[in-house]
Formats: sequence, C-alpha cells, structure tokens
Amino acid sequence: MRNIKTHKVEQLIMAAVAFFWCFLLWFSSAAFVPTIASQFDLSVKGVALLASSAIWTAPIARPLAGWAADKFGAPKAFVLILVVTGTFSILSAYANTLGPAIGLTEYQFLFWSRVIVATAGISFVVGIQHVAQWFESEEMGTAEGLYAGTGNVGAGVGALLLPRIYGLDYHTAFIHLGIVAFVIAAWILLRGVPAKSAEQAAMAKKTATFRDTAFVWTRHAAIALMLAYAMSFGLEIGMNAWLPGYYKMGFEEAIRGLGFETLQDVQIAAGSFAAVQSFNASLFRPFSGWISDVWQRKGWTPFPMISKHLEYAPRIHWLMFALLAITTTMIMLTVAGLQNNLVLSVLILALFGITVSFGTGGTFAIVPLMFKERPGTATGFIGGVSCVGGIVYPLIYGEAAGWFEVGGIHWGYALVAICMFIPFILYFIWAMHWDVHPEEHGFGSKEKWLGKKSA
Amino acid sequence: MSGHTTPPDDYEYEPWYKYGVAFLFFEAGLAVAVSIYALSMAFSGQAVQFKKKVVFDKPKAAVEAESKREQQDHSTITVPAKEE
Repeated sequence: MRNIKTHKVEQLIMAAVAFFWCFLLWFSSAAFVPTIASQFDLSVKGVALLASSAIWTAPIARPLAGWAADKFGAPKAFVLILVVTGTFSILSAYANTLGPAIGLTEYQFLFWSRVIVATAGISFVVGIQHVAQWFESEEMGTAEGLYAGTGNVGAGVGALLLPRIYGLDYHTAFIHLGIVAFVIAAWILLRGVPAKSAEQAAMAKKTATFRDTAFVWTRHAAIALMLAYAMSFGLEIGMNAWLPGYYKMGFEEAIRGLGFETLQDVQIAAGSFAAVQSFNASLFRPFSGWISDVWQRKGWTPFPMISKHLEYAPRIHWLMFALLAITTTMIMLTVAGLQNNLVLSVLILALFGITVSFGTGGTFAIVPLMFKERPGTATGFIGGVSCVGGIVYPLIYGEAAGWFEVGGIHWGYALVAICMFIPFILYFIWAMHWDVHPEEHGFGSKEKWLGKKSA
Repeated sequence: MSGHTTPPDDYEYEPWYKYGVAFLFFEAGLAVAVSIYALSMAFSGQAVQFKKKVVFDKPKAAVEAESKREQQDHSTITVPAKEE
C-alpha cells in the first residue's frame, strides 16, 4: 500500500466529491432532455427510452465495481470510472461530427456515448467500500450517510444548475463535465489510499468468492431488501432521468401559463421541479438512518407478521413504513397530475422525495446488520440489481402514456405502485417474518451453496 | 445508513464527528430551501437564469416536421435554430 500521510476525513471528502461528480455526469443528459427531445424530435417513448438508458449498465456493472474495489482498491476503481466517463462525456459533445464519421447518425452517437457516460453511477459501490475501509463502526452511519447523501445530490444540482448555466448548449456542458472529471481523477490518483491499514486492504481482497456471492443472491431477505432498494433508490434514479421530461410534457400548458414561454424557460422550470425530488431524496437520506436509530432505541414494531424478536426488528419495521409511504406518494403524484395541478404535484414531489430517502437510508440501516459476514457482496447485489427499477419505471411511464386517452403520462406512477410495489411489499413481509436468522432462508440451503464446513 | 449497533453512552466520538452531523443538518436545510424555491417558482412563474444561449442547429427533418405540426396546431413549441 502507498505510504501517504492522510486522514480519513480527506478520504471521505475525496469519495464524496468523486461520487457527487459521477452522479452529476450520470444524470447530466436528463437535465437537457427537453432540448435534446426538441432538437431530435423525440416522441414520449423516445424520451422514456433516453431516460431509462442512463441506468442500463448499472445492474451488471455495480456488482463488478464492488469486486474491483475489493480487488484493486477504491481509488484505482474511481480513477478508471472518472477517466472513461469523462472521455465519453467530451466525445458526446462532438456527436454531430463523430457520429457520421463512424457511420452513425448524430443522435445514435449521442445516445450510445451517453449510455457509456452513465456508467459513472456504478461508483456508489466503490465509495461505500472506501468509506467502510476507513471508518470505525460507531461512526460508520454518519460517514456513509455523508458520502451517499452528498454524492446523490449531484443529480439535483445538475437538474437545477446545468440548464441555468448552459441554456440549451448541452455540448459545452458535456465538455466541461468531462474536464472536471479528469481533474478529480488526478486528485484521487495523487492522494487516494485504499484503506487505513495494509492488513485491512489485504482482507478485502480475500472476502469475495463465487460461492458466497451465489449464497447471498439467493436469500429471500437479500432479494426482499433488493426490491425495497428498487422501490427507493431504483425509483429515485428512474425519476431523476424521467422528471424533467415529465414536467415539460405533462404540465407544459401550466408552465407556459406561469410565463415560462420559450423552450429554455420551460426546461429551466421543469428541471427545477425535478430537482425537488432529487434534493429531498438525497439530502434527507442520512436522516433516515438516524430515524432508524430512533425506532431501534424506542423498540417500535407496529406491523403484524414482520418479526418482532430480531435484535434489529424495529429497523425492519421502519423500512416497512417507508415502503408504504413511497407507494402512497406515488399514487398521489398520479392524482395531482390528473388534476393538472402543478403546485400540488411539486408539493407531493417534495414529500415523495423524503419518503424515497426513508427507503434508501432504511435499507442500508439493515444490510450491514443482517449480512455481517458478507457486507460487500450484499451491498453489490442490493445496490446493483435494484437499479433495474430505474430502467423499468421510466419505460412503464412512457408506455402508460399511450394506454389512456386522458392524462396518460400521469398514470404510470399509480400503475407502478399498484402492480409492482404492492407485490414487492408482500414479498418483503414474508421474507422478514422469521425470528431467527432470516438471512439464511432462501433458494437452496446454506450447505448447498457454501459447503458443509460453513453450515 | 446508520445501520450499526447504537454506540455505548460513554463512547467518545472523534472531533470531526460533530462537524459531520452539523453538515447533515445543513444538507437537510438545503433540501428544504430548494423545495421552497421550486414551489415559489410554481406559484410565481419566475426563475433565475444565468445565461441565454442557443447554439444547436436542428436537423432538417425535425425542422420540417415541426413546421408541419405548427401549421396544424398553433400551440406547438417553436425552437429557433439560432438565437443570441
């Protein structure tokens, strides 16, 4: 390990800044969706496809990123992610010349280069691993909260500021974002240290095996937590990509009625409304961990059927409350949209963002406790596969727009809540009913996956 | 994220910790401020803009399709190809 004099707070700031910028890169396309949709004459389905494409690589690449962070150290993984995505961010700005040069249209080149830029989102797992390598368990909650909350807000900052700074000129924005990614990569290359000790770094290399991974991926509790994270974080990133386009298309008349007349004005207004969700979902996330602590201290276990005897049962009940709150606010978003009430929609969106933060923070208040022996593998699975939700939801929203004659674009939220979230919640309740070692029940026995020694 | 067991009452946090918790409160305040700002925008129709610039040229097909739509429906958005 490199012999650099550093402090864990420097490593935390470094991870948070890198993750913040990766998140900004990840959703920078979304901030310009109204411009891109107008320039290339995209339909609602085209906008939905563009929105969901931002998340395509996350489910596969996140578990790989977790493995890479263990194997090579988080700083190297961060540098690789920043350099690759920064390069493609700059290249995407020249789609009009590079696309035709390789036999693609300008939009095809822009679309696929932005898919590669969106892989920046895999950095979440890298930073979680990095912070865990540096902080003590007593301060881990706050440290991870600071890292994840500050990093997640990159999407909101992008939605809020990019249209204001760059107007419709997304080309320049993509170039500048790529250049700053290089600067951060250089900083990490110079100052990044994988763990507080060489022993700890070496230990991380040994833990991830195929058998352990298969075991965790087949546990009911892990799948239930993954679905809970898909209902919260998967939903958050799906909404990050979808909302600017949604407000432009769903409330265009109302926004124009307020005096936002040009496309740029509408884009700024739509981006600002979308940022409400992102800011609340990100910045309240650490508080969800704190509320989970409160439920734990008070011993609150209000829901029937879910275990009341596990040491951390109140935390599971808190997550259950969060899942119900998310489902309710999704249905309320549809109601506000059908009434064409912009103010009510933005108000509910703020509430929705807070409930999403309850879900994200609540999930990772349980994961390290339930999967004490395999936190990295569990984090990779739960934090990675759940991102599929971010791909699926915008596509459903886009499809639903064509199913209803009136207000179709608003119906997607209620459909997802009723047809997907309620079954997810039922599975969560069932997976969390065991009073002893719920993390060991799953498809195939522990002996089958890990061998007789570990049974 | 605070998924670890609650520390004992006599646990002494390092000096950075109180600044970390203060920063969490700052972030929550920021989230509330952004929500209030977006809501006030929704009420008043005013937004802060730093720069107005349009540099892209719309592809010919898109411009033609748009002008066709405009002829059919006057409420369609119009985007000038260049605007300073």
